[in-house]
Amino acid sequence: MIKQGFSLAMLLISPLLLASQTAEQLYSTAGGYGCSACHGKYANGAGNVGGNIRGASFEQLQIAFEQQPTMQLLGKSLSDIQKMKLIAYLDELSNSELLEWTIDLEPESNELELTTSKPAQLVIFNALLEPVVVDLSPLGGPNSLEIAAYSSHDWQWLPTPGNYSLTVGTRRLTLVVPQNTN
Amino acid sequence: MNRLFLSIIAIFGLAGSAFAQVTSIELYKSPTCGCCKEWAKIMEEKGYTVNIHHQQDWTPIKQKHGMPPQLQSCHSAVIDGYLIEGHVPESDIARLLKERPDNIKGLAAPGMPQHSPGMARPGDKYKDFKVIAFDDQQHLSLYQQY
Repeated sequence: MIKQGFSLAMLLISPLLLASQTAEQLYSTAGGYGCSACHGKYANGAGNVGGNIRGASFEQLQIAFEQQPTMQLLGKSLSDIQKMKLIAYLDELSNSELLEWTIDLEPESNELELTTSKPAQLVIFNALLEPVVVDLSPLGGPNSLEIAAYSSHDWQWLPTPGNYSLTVGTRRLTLVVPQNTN
Repeated sequence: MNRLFLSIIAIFGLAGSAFAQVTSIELYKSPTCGCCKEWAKIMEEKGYTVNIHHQQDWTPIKQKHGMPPQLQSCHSAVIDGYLIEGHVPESDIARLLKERPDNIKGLAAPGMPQHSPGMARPGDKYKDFKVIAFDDQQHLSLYQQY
């Protein structure tokens, strides 16, 4: 059942990702450093100054380029078409529900509950200074995914109701997918 | 006595000139990034000479110094052979230049921490970010926690 859900999710998500590859590249390289420098690899903020910009509108982007001193020069270097590509990419990201899990020194049990029936994107940030191995098989993923020291990795899947548990050493994340989500 | 005094002056003079040589910073930044200039300004106020180089992609510089890609920020600086990535506080750089550990290739403040030098408002305390050291095997270690 999980594998079927996963396959369906990939059928839904993969064409979108492929179609927007150029936009994703632009997101990670604009200005040389990429929007990711201030907004995180997945536009999720990731503790950086720019914060989460998933789903931002063209108008919001224009205002930021005009009013944020650190963004004004970048705004002038991008064409309207490039800006629209960025917006399309941010819109595509917002079509997935973002779930974030930070693996840090303090072993913790975390629980995240999904609130929509959208495809989900789990972003795992390994804040440790050594690699960790995560078993993503409960979500239809690899059973030993290595995440490098101080790196992020994402996993997208189509949630079906139930509880899913991921562990790294003594750290545990429980994902709760309710029966009725909007 | 006078000879001893002159010798001491000469030794301190040599040490002083050696220090003066290592305070030169080669800063590699994108022409469109505004916050790097703020970091450069802080370093100049601390007595360093900052030579700014503009180009969009400085990946070759980062790779040449063996910087792990996940530590990337908006700018790179080379100070006396060490790579300094991003908004690393001057006090950490001063400590690095003083201690000169063999097992460190550089320091990084990954990403764009809000409360780091050049990002924080002038006078604000630096907080909520890590300065991470890397070696020639790309192993990471915590250099300073803010």
